[in-house]
Amino acid sequence: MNLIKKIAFGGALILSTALTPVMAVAASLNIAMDATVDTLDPHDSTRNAVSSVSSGILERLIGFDKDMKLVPVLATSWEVNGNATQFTFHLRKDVMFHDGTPFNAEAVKVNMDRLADQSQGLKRNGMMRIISSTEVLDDYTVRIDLSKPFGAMLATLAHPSIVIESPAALKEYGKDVSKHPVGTGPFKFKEWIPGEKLVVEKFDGYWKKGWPKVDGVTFLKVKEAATAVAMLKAGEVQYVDNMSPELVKSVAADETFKVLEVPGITVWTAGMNMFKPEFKDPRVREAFNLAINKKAMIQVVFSGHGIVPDSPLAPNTAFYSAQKPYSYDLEKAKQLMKEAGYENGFKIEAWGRNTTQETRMLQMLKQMLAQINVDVTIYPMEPALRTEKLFGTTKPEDQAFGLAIGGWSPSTGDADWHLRPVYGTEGWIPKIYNMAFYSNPEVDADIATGLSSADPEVRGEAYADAQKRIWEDMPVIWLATDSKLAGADANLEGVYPMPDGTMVYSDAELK
Amino acid sequence: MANYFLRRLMAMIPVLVIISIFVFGFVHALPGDPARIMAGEDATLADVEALRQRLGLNDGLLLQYFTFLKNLVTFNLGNSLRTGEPVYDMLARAFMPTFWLSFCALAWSLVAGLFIGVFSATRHGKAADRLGMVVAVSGISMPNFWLGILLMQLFSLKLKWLGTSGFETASDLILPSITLGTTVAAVMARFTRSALIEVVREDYIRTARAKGLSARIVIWKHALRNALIPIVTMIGLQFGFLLGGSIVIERVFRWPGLGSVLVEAIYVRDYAVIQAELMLFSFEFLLINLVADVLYGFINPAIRYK
Repeated sequence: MNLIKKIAFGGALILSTALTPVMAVAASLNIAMDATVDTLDPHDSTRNAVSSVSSGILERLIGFDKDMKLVPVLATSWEVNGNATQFTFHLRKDVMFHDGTPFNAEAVKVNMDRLADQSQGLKRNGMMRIISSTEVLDDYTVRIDLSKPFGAMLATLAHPSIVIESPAALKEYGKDVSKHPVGTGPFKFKEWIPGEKLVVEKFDGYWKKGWPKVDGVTFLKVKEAATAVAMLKAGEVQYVDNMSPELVKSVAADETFKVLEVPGITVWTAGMNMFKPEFKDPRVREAFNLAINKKAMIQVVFSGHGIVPDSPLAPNTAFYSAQKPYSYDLEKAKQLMKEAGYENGFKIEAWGRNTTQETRMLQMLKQMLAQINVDVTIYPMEPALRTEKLFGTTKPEDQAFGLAIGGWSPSTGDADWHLRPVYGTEGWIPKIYNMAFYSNPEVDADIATGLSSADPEVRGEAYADAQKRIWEDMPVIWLATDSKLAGADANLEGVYPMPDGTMVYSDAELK
Repeated sequence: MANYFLRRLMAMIPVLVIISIFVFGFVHALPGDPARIMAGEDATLADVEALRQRLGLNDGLLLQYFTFLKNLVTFNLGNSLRTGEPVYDMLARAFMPTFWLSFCALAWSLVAGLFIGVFSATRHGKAADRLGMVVAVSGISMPNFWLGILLMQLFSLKLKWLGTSGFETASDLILPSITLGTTVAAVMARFTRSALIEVVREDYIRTARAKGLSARIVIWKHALRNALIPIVTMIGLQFGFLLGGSIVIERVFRWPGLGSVLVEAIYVRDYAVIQAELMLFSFEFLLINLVADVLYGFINPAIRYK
């Protein structure tokens, strides 16, 4: 009986707190996010959600504007030597970390050393493996030396995970800095309940005078898309990150809310396994590209919120150059299959994840390829299982799939980190993400040229050539580039999705 | 009695050890490499290998099993592979929300289920019985995420009486426990009805009636008490099941409970968290069964423990 009494008493206590009204804090912002934040140390994360929440706390030397163009943040200007091995940065002089530590060249060096030190075991160490040393030239000038030319270095430094953390905090917390992020951003970290919510509050000593314009931001984890939209409509959140395309209509219908749509840089592809004899014939690869009605696919998979790709790169990626799209043409596709000797088609497996979107992609591939007599068996797999099957073997000839769905977003916004992993020979799975096992020495040479210089003209020329060649070789079916969507209160300004799928909230303002 | 209880508790240990072998084997037999998943799609092979080393996944399986067992015995449960956070803290944080939700859902569904069950059983074969069972079957058949979203639309958006989701105040318990308890209430109603219908056919019920006792006393005191044994068993099972956390309800109502922790852990193959949580569920089930066994003695004094 005692236990029951205790439980009843506890229940009464909880009920009494229910009657206390919740005080609304003025000019504070709530944001619904569907993805999990598992650390607050971007140096040790590959997740977009971590980049998003960190973006207001921790800043980078260089950042991206809305269209993924490079803009100065903690560095005011920079110089690069001719073969892209030496990068000198001039730093802002009026910046302080949240813990009072001054921001200077030494702070940059501490961070770059941490990222370059491969023994740290951080998930982003690989990105900065190329750094050989970082020198402090004076208090506000720092030079990064690379072990070999790397033309994409500036874009890589602008990557959302290459942030500058307080050297004092790194020293004090060590690995636990993942729970105590201390940066130079407009918001300082306040509270984090993993899987539930994260709270940041205004930093009064922020270097950009007059900012931030809100007192704080609370990020709530909301997995269910319908719940996130209900919360927006009930006024519990003012912004829904990564909103589901199906819910756009319901939000747009009410004028107290708005839908934000940004062209993404993710290109969805179905890689054609070049170890399958059928795909060695370029006519088959072309037929596959012509037999897929991409507009219909975007309609079904993304409720129309996307564009048909016209290059291996998405338009917002640096050095993108448009090619002639492969428009839907079933007759020509049939003709090509006939010429290649596959009039009666063949059987293949198509692999993807069992997410709603990828399952729909697989189903549509199956239906459309049936029109050219190709019998596709689809495998929508639990994500971890798919990863295991795709990345579990180093022998490409053993892979059973004919088609594999992939969506690559170059988080540096640079051509190199899309072309090299997805189309370079060095990117063959399991090494990076080339699921077609595509290999073209000329493309590899272009990729190498692009990396050998930081001169935009040299790089642009190399990447234009690479895109043209890849487009002609058609190692993949280019399916779609989806838009990044968000729902927001009509009065909210300054919070928006980036083309890479992360969210920026530093300039948040409630009007 | 206390002796019996202690003996049963001790008997749980070998059972838990056997379960631990199954849990460990099952978790490690799942396809999928935690290091590969956690390193992310754009990680290179070298990055994945470095992470695997750091997470201790290159240790032998036997060594990993004994580490798991040692952690269980010392109650430290190890650290999450994904965040490095102590698993104990993760489960402790998620346990109370799950407990309160299960408790509230069970409490109301028990009362409702018993009443509907008795109502139907005493009108066996009549229209009222059928009405009761139509309500019960609807409760079982309705997809509960759909019910949850409907309730949210009505009470949070239209009437604005309650918040949509999350667990900040006690009133946040209302919608999810209604949603979660609906199925349980329906199951309890059907179960109570059939248990009671069987009991009222017994001779001693006829005797009670013949003594001139009122119908209410006969049903609630004599019949129900005897029908209670299977019902208590059922309550135990339902409670154990609810304590496992509801993945769907937790998702719809943003409930910070054990279900979401488990699902997240399975996605990334966070071995330490999956194992600890499965062990916790098994322990809860054993404990609830034991409590149910003890309760039998109170319900029916003819049952003795040795």
